[in-house]
Amino acid sequence: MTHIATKGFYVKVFLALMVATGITVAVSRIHLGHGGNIALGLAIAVTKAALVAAFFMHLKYDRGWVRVFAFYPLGLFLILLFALWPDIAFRFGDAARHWVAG
Amino acid sequence: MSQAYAAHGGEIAEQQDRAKLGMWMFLASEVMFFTGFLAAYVALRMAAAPGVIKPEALDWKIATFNTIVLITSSLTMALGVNAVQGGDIRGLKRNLLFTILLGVTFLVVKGFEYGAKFSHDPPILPSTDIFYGTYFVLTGFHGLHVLGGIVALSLTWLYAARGRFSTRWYAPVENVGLYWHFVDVVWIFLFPVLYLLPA
Repeated sequence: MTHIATKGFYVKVFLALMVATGITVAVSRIHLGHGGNIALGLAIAVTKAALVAAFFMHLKYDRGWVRVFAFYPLGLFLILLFALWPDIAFRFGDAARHWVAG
Repeated sequence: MSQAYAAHGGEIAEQQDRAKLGMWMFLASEVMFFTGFLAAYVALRMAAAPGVIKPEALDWKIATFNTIVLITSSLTMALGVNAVQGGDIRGLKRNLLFTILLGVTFLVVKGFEYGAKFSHDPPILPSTDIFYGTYFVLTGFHGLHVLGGIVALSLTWLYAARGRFSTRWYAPVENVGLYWHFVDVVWIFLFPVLYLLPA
């Protein structure tokens, strides 16, 4: 049945989100290499989104179809992004870099 | 309707679960709505010549402030749902009001951010270049979702003021909460992807 958390628990989740926001801004000012900055920035965003979904949206306590409908668009999201990648990386190559230059 | 269900407590719980599932199905479609625009931006990032993607041209400080505003509004929203679950309607109304005010704050700050772009010389518009085109589309549609959320939250506040909700029936509160948290999650991704990550 419905899980009811305490107010203090929600405040802790909030504080974790605030700390994560501080970290993501701080590391964006530090050069960790192009890929490093992007990977870390996205990893922190995924962590924050997971905190919101799991606790604020109660996904941790939901079962069955709610979980199915919460997770299947994430699969579609990844398929759509990965479907784009080879087209740009392999088909156009350097030409693509000038294709949208203007 | 609520009276008919009053004699069947189990049915209320079931109806509430179905309403929640409906909201999650809607959110699944919303994920795909934003995925299309985000994919356009990712394709642009991967294919663009140097200098086309310019996160440094955006105001990361104002975006950081808005991130804090929106995350705080997610906390007040969660506390609102928590209040109605415990039968505290006053707490629900107070937290809905905080959430609405924080949502309005987000839009006002976003207005200043856009204003600075429009009053730039020469004006920076969606038509300025493809980078600003994707920036305005992504943040603009997100802003419209915040606006829609404020309308839904205001209606929920009115229903709460009319005594429509109880510990047994609060599906609209829970669902507007899910929607609001979703809008927060979208911003959690837009913030680093647009403003922070190197080109």
